[in-house]
Amino acid sequence: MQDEQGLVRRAQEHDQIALTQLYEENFDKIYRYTVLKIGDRAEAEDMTQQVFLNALKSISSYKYKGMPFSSWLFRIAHNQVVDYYRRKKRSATVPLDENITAGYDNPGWEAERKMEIEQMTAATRQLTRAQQEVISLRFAGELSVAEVAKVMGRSEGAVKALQHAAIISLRKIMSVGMGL
Amino acid sequence: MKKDREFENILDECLENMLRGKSIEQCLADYPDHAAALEPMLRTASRAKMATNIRPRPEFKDRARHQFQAAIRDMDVKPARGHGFFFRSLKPAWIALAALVAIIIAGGGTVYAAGNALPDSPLYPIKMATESVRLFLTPSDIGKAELYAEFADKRIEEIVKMADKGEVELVQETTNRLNEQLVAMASLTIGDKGTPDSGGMFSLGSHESSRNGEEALTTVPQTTVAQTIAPTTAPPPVVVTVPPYPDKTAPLETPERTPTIVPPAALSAVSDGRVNDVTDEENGDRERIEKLKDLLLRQAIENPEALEKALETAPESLRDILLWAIEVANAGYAQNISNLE
Repeated sequence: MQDEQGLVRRAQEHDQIALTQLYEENFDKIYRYTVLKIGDRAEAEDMTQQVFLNALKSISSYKYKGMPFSSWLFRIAHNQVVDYYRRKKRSATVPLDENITAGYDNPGWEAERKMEIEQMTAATRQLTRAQQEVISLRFAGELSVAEVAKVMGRSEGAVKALQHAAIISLRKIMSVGMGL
Repeated sequence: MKKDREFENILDECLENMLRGKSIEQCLADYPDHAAALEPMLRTASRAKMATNIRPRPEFKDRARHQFQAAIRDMDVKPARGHGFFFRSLKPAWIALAALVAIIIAGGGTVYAAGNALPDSPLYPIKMATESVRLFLTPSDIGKAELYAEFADKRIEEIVKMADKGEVELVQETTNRLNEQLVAMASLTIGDKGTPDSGGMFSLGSHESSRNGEEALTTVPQTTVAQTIAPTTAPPPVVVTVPPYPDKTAPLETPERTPTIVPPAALSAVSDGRVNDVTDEENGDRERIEKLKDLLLRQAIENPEALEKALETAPESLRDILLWAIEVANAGYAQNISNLE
């Protein structure tokens, strides 16, 4: 954490290496989060780029409060997702874009992984919005419970309870709906 | 209520351990009293984790990276405390250079250590960041091409080492990176030959195209070809074919490949055919291009050989990825050599 603080400080001084390192370390996670929340590859790509450009613009206002830098990036991403749905006037996750891919060059794996993604996204869509958020941040974003709590503005206990309930629901949905 | 909270804490601890790479069995062994309740939850969570492991398309990642780097360059560079005038008087590129020098002096050990980091090392992102900065600080296309050649060499070494460790995903990721860098190199304009819209735009079967085998073959050029160069006429377009990424379900056979052959005589013909009244700068550039060509010719032979050697001892799970890496290297080097002719 001490190292990351130093890295962020350098990034705030517009140090090219520090900015690039923070970008490379977080890019895939932010993309995974947005793609799961939006369900549309093109929109998720635009949004991921925008998250980093917005972060770049406002990095000087970032203040270290004991949480990793990624929590701050996810907060930006979360706000953009909320804004996206407000603009689109959509109340829930849109259907998964058929163009979303797992990112593998091997077509065999790609098909297998795509099916997994589709099944999981379909199951996730049946969760409450707060449960969806916990699953996206925890598994796609790889944030800890404390970090998820920070992004969502809830207590750690509340996030743990949401996580528990979300996994129970996913289990039920997947065993009923997919014959597991 | 208290029991619920206790279970939520245990579940979270197991999930945290699982996300850090611990197996479900290891997690269950830590809490034998709760194993029955935990197991189905952890299996569902594991599936959710695997399903969410979506990766961005390499071409999107590349485009986004360039846009981000451009945005950094466009940023107002704030003066450092106490050195306002000095820093204000510098251009952003020089400030980046100064920052790089400062980091090398202050934290040079880390940057140096990262230079040899492998994809499974925590220092690897620093190595990638350093490569990006080196590219950023290199204004000329020939300079960038030299860097890409150096990076491609490193990627091959990383693929071989990761294959030796049986790291399937990292071999795949590094091969994608090799592909991206060879494509980026081919899109540079070097001398008066390469153009971003011609030879440069070859594609080595990104997942976008390989989802559709037909499409992959039409956009991806044909086996490595060496062409005869006549100094007075424009060279025919280089065609390079790369087979689509092998399907995991298809029987795995080592395909017969046409070896990369670019006759040295053809390469020297390029320089022989040029006009004589050239400036020192042009001579210098030509010399660098010749050196780069020599380097690529050597790499085009040695690197696929290193990958083939790795293939000989690789487990089944790595065979198709390594075959793909060989194709990426063969086609990428052939294209870049052709672009320099």
